[in-house]
Amino acid sequence: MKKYKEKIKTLDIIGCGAVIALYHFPILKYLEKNNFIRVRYCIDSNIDNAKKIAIGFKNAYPAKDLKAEEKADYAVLTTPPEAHYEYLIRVESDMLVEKPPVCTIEEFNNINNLKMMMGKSIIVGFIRRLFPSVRLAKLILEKGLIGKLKAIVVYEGKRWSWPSYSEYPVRSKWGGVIYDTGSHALDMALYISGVNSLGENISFKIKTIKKEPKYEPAHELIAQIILDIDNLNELFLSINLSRRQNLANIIRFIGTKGSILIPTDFSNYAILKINKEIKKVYCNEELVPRSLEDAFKLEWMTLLKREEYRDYFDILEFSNFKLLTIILQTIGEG
Amino acid sequence: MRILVYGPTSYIGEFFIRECLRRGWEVVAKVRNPVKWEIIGFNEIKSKNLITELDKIKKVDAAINFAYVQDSPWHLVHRKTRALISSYLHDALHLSADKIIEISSLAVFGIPLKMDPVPAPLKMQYGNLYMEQKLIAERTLLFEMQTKKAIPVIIRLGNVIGPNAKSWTSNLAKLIILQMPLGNGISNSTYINNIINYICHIITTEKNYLRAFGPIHHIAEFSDYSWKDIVDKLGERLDLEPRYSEQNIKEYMEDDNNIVKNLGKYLPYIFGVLPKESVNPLVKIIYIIKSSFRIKKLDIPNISPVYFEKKQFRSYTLEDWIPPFSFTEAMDNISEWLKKSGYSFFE
Repeated sequence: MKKYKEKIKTLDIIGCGAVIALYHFPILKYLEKNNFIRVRYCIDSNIDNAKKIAIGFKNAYPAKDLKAEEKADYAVLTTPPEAHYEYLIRVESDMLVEKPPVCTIEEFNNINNLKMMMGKSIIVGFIRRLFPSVRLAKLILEKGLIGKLKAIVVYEGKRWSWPSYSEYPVRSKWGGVIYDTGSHALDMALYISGVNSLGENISFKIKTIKKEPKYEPAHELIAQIILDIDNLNELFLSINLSRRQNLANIIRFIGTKGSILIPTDFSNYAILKINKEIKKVYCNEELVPRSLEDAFKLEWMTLLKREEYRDYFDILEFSNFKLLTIILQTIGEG
Repeated sequence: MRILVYGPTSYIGEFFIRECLRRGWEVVAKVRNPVKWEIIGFNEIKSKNLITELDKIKKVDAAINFAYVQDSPWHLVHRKTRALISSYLHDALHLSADKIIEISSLAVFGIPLKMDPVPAPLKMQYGNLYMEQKLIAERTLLFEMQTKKAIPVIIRLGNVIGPNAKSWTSNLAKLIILQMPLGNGISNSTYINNIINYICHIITTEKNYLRAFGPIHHIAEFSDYSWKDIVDKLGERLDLEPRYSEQNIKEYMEDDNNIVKNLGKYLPYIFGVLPKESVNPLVKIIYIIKSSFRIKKLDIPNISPVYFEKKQFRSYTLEDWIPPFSFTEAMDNISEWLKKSGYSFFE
């Protein structure tokens, strides 16, 4: 009797810029080598970029646009954000979409409805949610070790050195720092504090906002936001972002009994201060990523083995990002 | 005064351009990364003294290069460095610059310093791509300028501290707030505003005096201070007790000390499969074998061995120059920036 051989799942890469080249490419190579996937098309409006990526896989073809043939099993979407909506509608495969998933709340609602109608899975590349430090900080807050959360202060900024393949960081309305690293930092704050899962029970108002330059794409941003939970509790959120300055790259959670500080980069610890005593606390869980590369692997396995990685799927699933999308849009338009 | 600037979007380049414009000098900037140029905000400066079209200019008074090769596959770094320096020298000579300045680093003596840092030309060394690049740049400049009228100037910088300085200020402050253990080695530091002042001083110095001094300058006006002096000062401002660790590093390798990996990395290079470089294959093989057996002595991950430096890199600058900013003034300025940038611990 012939041994049944499972068909290797196919994947299309949409957007062949620096994000794919630097972060996803090594993992996709690993997945291809281990027969998890076969990369089918590398799609980019700049065919030279597509060729550069396609050459790295066994049987991948470069293309300028989606091919009108049978859908791939999976797709990864890493184009500039303004192109996400169109592809999220056109592509029927299960998808990993890079952050931010969409630009406006209308787009978010449409995609959310479409996703449910079509029964397709979309996860968003807010990879920092998988960092051990984030898991640890969330746990500390949930256990109430620092009391009731009063304020979150975010500092995220590095002098620009990203080898962007296009000029979208200085040309696109969605190319500014808030949509770039800012969306990661803001998502960390909302996710760790748990406010993003409060649904309709949360509202917010922007107290102050300062951008440099004054229009989008802005490269420096300071915003102060008041999050109103159940019309009862106010949570103060301060965001400081820059592409010009090497800011501290940390997030502080300030509670009534103490504070926590975590780096925004990959790390496995948090600094905890309670009653003037400072402690460095490590995440000792076994099943957490040990490196950034590990976190990317986990993100991919979440897409490919949805049932096995159910917990992570629930963390990265598209519908989690409604509040973030509204805040980003408001700041972007502010 | 009109200056040709290569690497205008670098950290020091940005400070230098702003100082030139403040002094009313004209800057002719060679922009290789227009996205970064725009992000830094240079396109918002509406000054006729900031010029980006080199072909419109006939003459400059001096040329300065802050640029080096980044984001390149390792096997292309030497070739790209040569191309960069050739292009810089070509433009500088074409525009008849009287002084041609190359910004180098104490890294040419190794990381940490492997030899006594004397202000003299150095032989080619291998082991760290940044060091190799800086050595290629220095050597090319000195060689090419032997028969030219313009004066070559190489400024080797110590560890640069200042607002927004990545390695020795923001990374350092981050280590303090994240409770990482630091070393109490010699800082060999230099303050950004003093560096800029010294470069401007060189540009305005009389040619014969500059020629008599020799081509190589070292600037590390705060090299007498240890990292502990700096960290304690910053820790005081950040309201935090820094942690220190005693480490005795005899030798340190940045690359993996795995002979197979190293040979695998360099063999195609040596046998010409990859683009050629002017390296004696035997020298490189000996280096690889030697370095593969070195023992990495530093146990703390993510901490640079520079914090445990034992050798001093002293300033060797023009005698008529006095650093305008004292250590205390520098620390005040840095602390103020750190606080503004989120480096204070818990408010």
